Amino acid sequence: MSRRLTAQLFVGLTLLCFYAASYNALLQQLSNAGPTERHSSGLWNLPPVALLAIAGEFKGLMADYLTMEVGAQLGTELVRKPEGGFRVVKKQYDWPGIHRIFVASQALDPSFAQTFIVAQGWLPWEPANMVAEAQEILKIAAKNRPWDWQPARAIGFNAYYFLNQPGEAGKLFIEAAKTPNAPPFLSILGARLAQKGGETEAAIVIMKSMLADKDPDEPGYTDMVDRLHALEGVLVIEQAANSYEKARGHKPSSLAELTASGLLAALPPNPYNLDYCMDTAGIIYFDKPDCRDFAPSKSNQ
Amino acid sequence: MQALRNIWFLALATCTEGVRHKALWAIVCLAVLLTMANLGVTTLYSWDLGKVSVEFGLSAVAFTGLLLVFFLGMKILADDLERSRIFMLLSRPVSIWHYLTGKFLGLAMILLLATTILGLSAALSMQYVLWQYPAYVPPNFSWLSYAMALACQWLSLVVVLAVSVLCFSFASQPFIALLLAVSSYLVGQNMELLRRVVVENAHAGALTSQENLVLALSWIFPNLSLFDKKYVAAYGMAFSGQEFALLCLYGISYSALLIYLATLLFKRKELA
Repeated sequence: MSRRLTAQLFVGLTLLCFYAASYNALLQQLSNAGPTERHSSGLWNLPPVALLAIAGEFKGLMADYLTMEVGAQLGTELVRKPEGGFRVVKKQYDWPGIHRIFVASQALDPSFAQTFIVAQGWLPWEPANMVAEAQEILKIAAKNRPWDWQPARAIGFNAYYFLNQPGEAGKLFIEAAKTPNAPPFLSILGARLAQKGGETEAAIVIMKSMLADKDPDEPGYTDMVDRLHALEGVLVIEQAANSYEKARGHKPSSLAELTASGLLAALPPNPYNLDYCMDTAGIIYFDKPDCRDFAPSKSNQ
Repeated sequence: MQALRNIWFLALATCTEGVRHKALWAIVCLAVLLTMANLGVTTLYSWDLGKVSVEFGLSAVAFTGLLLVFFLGMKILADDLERSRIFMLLSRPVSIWHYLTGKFLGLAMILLLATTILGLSAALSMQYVLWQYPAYVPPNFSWLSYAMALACQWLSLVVVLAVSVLCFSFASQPFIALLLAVSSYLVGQNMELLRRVVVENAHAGALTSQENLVLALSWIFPNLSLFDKKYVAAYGMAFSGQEFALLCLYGISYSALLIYLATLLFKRKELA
């Protein structure tokens, strides 16, 4: 081997070692830094107008990239164990930063499903607890995806589950049910929640308007009719209970007391072949004969 | 009649030169690779796979088209000057407007060829994705919308090409012409955004009370974002034939005006 070739190899190897050592040191430094420190800066911190200007005609692609960035920041993280193999650690999430990425992605592509679905999967739950922020993202998605019932369904779910607003949730579910190809259970669920929120009359009106647009041969039509009749039964009982309260100064303690007072001749027929029930707060149920309810545990499912 | 014959001859010669150019094939290879990457990238997502695929395919067309305009197009124009071929042409009964129009049409034909190849290639990968994941295809997706979006993409590239020819006609150096063309492209992409910010926002910072200036600029620079129909095609949104026809008219009239201006400016350019 000539001296010149040896010298060239030596210089090449030296440069390679120098490169490997410096790059490895940089990677070590990055892995030692906390996730917040690592992800605190990025394109997503720019105002939406600036993002739109930078993306130019590649807005959709940039939104795709940002959702991938969210995916990289979320989820579990594998850490190499000293004895070999990996262990899963719970990461410290930078939730405000992650929220900013969702907002940036949605500013670039307000219709992208990946953005609102992943946002709904993480933001309203523990430990992020960003229900209002999630609702905002979902509202924008619902506005920009008129063919999709899922954003409105998610808004309704959050209103019911996190914000404890069954009436509002019911309205939102019914709104979602109006979307083409929405599953029939949404309208039924919506009517039920709206009624639970003390808006039986509104639930009946909405249900009737939905039935008017539907073909009787469509799947779920008879279920909706049954639900409508049940709601009408509830309304009759509610009106009688209101009259009772006006006349006597207090609510009836039971449906039997209400019928005994003469203000309601008999309980209306229930299409579900169950007895109506009135709980201590005066709420009428058509599908719970003993007025029992379950309390959902608010954990991340 | 002679003028049309000259223009047609120059356009065909330019197109042939472009097709023979190695850069064109390198860019087409890159585009085919990008299109194939479409298949891989799409599977990284869990929802809206159809949207990701369509948007990626059309973006590949846009990106490759821009490379063609800024590098191949400018190089072909600059080569004529650097190798003094332009003197040979202008010494014949070929006027400057024949020359510039012929060159412009030839380059537009190269762009049409590249857009067609890339569009078909992207459509094949999209068809695969749409067939593999039918549940994630937007409900109103149509190939007609895709074809119209592709045509708009080509029109947008033709407008950028016209801007490049204009910059070339007065810039002293090809590199300066390239810089000016790229800057005009960036301004053109954001013209609509800027116009909306000023018109809809009374507190637009430095642009407050500069509405007339921005509106005037929006008439001078090309409004390229209007041609961007990737979003529309990706989500299968409504795209009327009337809007498409108006976009075509806008693109053609704007390009024709720029080529006319380029002819006037080129006459004053010192060629030697």
